[in-house]
Amino acid sequence: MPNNHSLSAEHRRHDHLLVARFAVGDAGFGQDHEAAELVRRCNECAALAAEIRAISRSVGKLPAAPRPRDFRLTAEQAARLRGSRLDRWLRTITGSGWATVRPVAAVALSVGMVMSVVGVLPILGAATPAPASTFDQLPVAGAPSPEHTSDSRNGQGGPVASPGDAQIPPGVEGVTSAEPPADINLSDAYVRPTPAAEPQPGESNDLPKTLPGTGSSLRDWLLLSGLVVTALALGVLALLYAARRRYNDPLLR
Amino acid sequence: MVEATPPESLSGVDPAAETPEAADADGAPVGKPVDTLQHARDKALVERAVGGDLEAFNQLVLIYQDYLFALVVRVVHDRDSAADAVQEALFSCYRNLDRFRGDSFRSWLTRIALNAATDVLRYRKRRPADPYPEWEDDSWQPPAGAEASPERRTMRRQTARVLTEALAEITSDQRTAIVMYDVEGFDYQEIADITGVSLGTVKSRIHRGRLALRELLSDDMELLRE
Repeated sequence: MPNNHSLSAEHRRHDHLLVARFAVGDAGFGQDHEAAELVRRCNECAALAAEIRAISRSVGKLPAAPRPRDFRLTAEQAARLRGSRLDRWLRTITGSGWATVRPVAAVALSVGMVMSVVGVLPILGAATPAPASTFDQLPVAGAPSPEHTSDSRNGQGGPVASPGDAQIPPGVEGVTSAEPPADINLSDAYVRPTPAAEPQPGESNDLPKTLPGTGSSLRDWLLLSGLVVTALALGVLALLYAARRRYNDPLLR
Repeated sequence: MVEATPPESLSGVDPAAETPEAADADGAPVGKPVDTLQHARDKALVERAVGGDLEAFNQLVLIYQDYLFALVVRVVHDRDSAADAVQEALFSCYRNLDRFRGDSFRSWLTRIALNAATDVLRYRKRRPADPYPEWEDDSWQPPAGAEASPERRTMRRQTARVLTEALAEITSDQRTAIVMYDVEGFDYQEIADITGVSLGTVKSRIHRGRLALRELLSDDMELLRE
């Protein structure tokens, strides 16, 4: 039989937490046997288990403190707590039921800003001299082609065409470049692979930038829609932020 | 989903007769999680209270105010602070009643009350002038049974006092977990759900808390072995 001193030293190395769990039947499968062995072989572990059980039992018997007052709400308190209809609605939108609104508004804000930028960019492009696109340089039906009005006839300072810019043979009128007549041999169309359109001296620079009724109206629509969506999303986000600042209840954390 | 009009058997109950404590005559832990009928009763009362029926909310208050105060005073160790915390919790509950989701109104209310208690503890930590004034107050010591002798009564009071003092010494997380488990009868999972920590953390807090109590009570263990 070991003396008390050596027993205490040995007990200190035992897993007291395991014994505490075992004492209330919470050691878990697999550690049950180890804990039971500790309690069986170590008197101090056995005492520890007994004391843990006594503590648990005693805490459970602690008397309930009598409440000092009645906590029922008066009608005045209830009216003050409920607030106005607006208060209640603002309080509602800070709740978890509206949790998806914020990410949706953030996405809408992003989409609206992209739409606005896409709608604005061509306008900026028109304000600064930029390389004209093939689409923009397509001749309009009935309008004389710049090539035909330039000095191309005498072979000096010939017109400069964008890649893909097809010349319509003389004598073909009343058709757009988008709809070549069937009797035109496209192989006759002469394409000059000049990289950029540089207006030559004496050459007109007032080419139509868009086809009528397509590009500009689409850009306007994008710009307007983008601005509206952005404004709405910003409004919703601001409302949610303000409501959260004012009505979020820290006790519901 | 709760019906708009609760059944008569639910809406017409006497709340005081159905408190968790009252339903505990068979020796089960006080406040053991309520059954489906009580969930339904609570939901029906909540439904009416959300609709503006103050009387329905006050029935809920009657059902739970004793339990709430007993829980919170164990956590904060001060009756005045506990009363304020319970009042705040009930105010918050009433304001946000339409946000109540889930099955157990009691668990939801307990979480709010524990948050209020935690706020009290944080406030006290910042201003530790009088950490546990409750110790000076003998008015809430255990009521003596009619059969109890003066000696036994004194011993019970002393046991409750040393235990209460020891509980006040351990960490608030451990104290909350132990009180919820040993006093209020929640199970591990419910405590984890209410306090927002894992099941393992709850178990660890309870077992380590008991070990800490044992250290603190080493000189008074005879009182607990009665």
